[in-house]
Amino acid sequence: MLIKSKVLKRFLKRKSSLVGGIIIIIFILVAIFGPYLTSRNPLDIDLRNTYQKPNRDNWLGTDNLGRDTLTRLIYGARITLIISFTSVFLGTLVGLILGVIAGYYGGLIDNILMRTTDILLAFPGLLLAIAIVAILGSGIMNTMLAIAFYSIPYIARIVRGVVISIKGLEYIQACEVIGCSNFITIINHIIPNSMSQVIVNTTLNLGTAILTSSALSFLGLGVQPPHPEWGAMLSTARDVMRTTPIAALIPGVAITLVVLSFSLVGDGLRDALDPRLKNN
Amino acid sequence: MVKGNRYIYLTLLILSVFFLISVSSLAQSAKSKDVLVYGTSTDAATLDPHVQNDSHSEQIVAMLYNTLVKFEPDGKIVPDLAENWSVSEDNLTWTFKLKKGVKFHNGKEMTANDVKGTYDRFLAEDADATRLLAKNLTQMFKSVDVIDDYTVSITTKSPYGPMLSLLSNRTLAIMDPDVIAKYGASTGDFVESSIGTGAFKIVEWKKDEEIVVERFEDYFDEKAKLQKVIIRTIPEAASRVIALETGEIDMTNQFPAEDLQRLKNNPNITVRMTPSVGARLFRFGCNNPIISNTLVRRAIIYAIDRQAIIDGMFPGMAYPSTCSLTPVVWGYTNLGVIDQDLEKSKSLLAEAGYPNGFKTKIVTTPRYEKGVELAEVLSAQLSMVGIDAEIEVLEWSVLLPLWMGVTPEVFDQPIFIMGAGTSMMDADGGLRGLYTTTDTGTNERNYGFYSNAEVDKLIFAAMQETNPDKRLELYKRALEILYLEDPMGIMLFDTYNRTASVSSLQGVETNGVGMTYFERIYFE
Repeated sequence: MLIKSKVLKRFLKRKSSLVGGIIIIIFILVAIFGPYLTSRNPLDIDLRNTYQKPNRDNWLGTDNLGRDTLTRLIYGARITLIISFTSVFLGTLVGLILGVIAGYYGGLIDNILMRTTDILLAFPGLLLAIAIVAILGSGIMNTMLAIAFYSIPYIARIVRGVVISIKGLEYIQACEVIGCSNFITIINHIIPNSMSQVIVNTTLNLGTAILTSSALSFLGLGVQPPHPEWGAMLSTARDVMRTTPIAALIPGVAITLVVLSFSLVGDGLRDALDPRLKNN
Repeated sequence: MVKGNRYIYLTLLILSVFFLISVSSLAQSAKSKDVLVYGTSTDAATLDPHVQNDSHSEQIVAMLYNTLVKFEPDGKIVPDLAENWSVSEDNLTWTFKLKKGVKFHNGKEMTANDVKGTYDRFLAEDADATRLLAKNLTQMFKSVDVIDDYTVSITTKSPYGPMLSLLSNRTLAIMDPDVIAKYGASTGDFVESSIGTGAFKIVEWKKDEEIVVERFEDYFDEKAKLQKVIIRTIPEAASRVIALETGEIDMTNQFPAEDLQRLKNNPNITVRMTPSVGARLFRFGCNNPIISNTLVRRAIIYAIDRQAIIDGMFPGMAYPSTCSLTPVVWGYTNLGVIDQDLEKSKSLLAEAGYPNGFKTKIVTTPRYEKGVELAEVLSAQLSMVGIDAEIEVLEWSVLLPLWMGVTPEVFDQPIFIMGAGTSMMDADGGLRGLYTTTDTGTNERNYGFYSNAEVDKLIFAAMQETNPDKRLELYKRALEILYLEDPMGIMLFDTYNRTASVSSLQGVETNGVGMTYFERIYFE
């Protein structure tokens, strides 16, 4: 408990992480309570009101089919949240398991797993995601799978490194001496002690996941129309960048803000959880 | 000392940069006014007339090759390679007198043998019909015979009314058979294998970047006014418009609806729009159990508000369809705009047994202008009568194989986007094959498996009819069925051919097919 409050204190001391944290909380709240914030339907088309500038009825203007941009932004937050959290959770879970197995058991199994991740890491992340979507087809579900898949090698690699460094420590040797099974050692000691690294990377990954899902939708491979998704909104607004720049600006700023916030929070967490600082 | 040297180098560097800038700006101002830079969205896929199947390739084919007869901008058919022609009593044999002194770009003279050699390429039994589009179009040809060096005759199996329209099609352009023999399947794939008789000859082709053509000095007809045309590929619509506004290109044929007003207001730019053969529609996949019901299809066409779509998405760039063909196509009949009538639509649905609507799917592609947005609007409008249509967006390269030569068991597109427009500007090209029943088990060019016995009968009767009035009557009846009674698709709107160019550019003429006559263009 003492340690945790210290971590929190250290985290809050960094102003940038604090700001990032607040933005993320707002983002999550908007995503969860979105439908209560607006009475409009994000799919309501009004072809007589396309590309309106912000006004009293449409606070952030309307898009190419006259749909309210604010409403779409709010509903888009929900899709973005679901995609990023689900995919990162899935990716982290699998990556964690593979990383622990590779790091703890070592030998041939480690070799096979790590060479496989090397191969996957050789692909640029987005390219890998595009390839997966091309095979599975587009849509929310497949976008999540694609992002989850490409984040596996990153997590697996980090976890393996941490596990190897923990494995040599006395308390693990103590576990072996008192006859703990491998399973118990892993569950009770290895995983909890590598968690801080995992948390930091998961946070940073959330930002990347949002960026990737937006990129996929921007390219028309991710979330399918008419669902509001920030990347897709940006993509359609691109055609009118010169006449109605605000249409592209709004989803662009939203993506940037949220991704930046996750990076800031991730950095803040890394510093706060750094074991070297624990005793300061 | 070392430090001093550095300054000298720095000064030299800055000077050389200035020098380069001034040289390049000099080059800019010295740009002679007989070179046209033309911006297009897509590079030509092939310059083989018999194979090309998209307007971008066709435009360049039109610059490089000639046909026996050709369309004027107003749709009138005039001599091109042929000087005059006659048709036999039984309407089966067409005899063409060719112009003398016509040269290919390689210097060879074009004679009747070349016409026969060209046509025999796709008339051959073993010609690959899926690659050589021309084969399908010339099903009714029996033989092509050389009478003397400058006379050639075409014999058909049955009388064929729109023969001259068919021969005006760039797909039947005359090539050098020696070139075909030499390059085979790679004919039209690079500069050396793209030899025609046209007003321009190709000199350079950097794939997906630019094609350079130059005036052909030995052209048999009036020589091109421009010395050189550079066709530059600029995929992004917004970049193309910017390029035009900044003078990087002189002309383009495609720009987004959002830019229309701004371009029109720009005193340095002239926008030209002419009615085209092109129409935007969503076709029905009649192999689908629900969509196969005529009542359902009729219900759907009344659920759509076409004017709202045009006003909201294509203001000033389209007008509502009034038939399954556009007004510039021979055989067109004005059957009126289908207005949105939700009550009628709902009652038709109820009559069909779907009072609460049904679930279906709209397949679309971003390749067509605002293809995805159109599907979104259609889906929203269909939801007003209870039809729940999900949208599937496919890339062009994925979509094409799903359309062509598939069986009804495989084809899964109840409602799908389509661009229609016949290059021969005749109802025969716009209807036969597209809406006539196929007997091979696959859809061939009738992607949506449309089948109506009466329509089949009418279209084939009209094809063989040589009396224009009687042909018109037959098409009128066929169109009534296709457009209203047993709809083949949701006709949305007809489009304009549009070009935007710098105002100093004159003589820009575009025909209904969308082909611009580049040889007539000049700078003021």
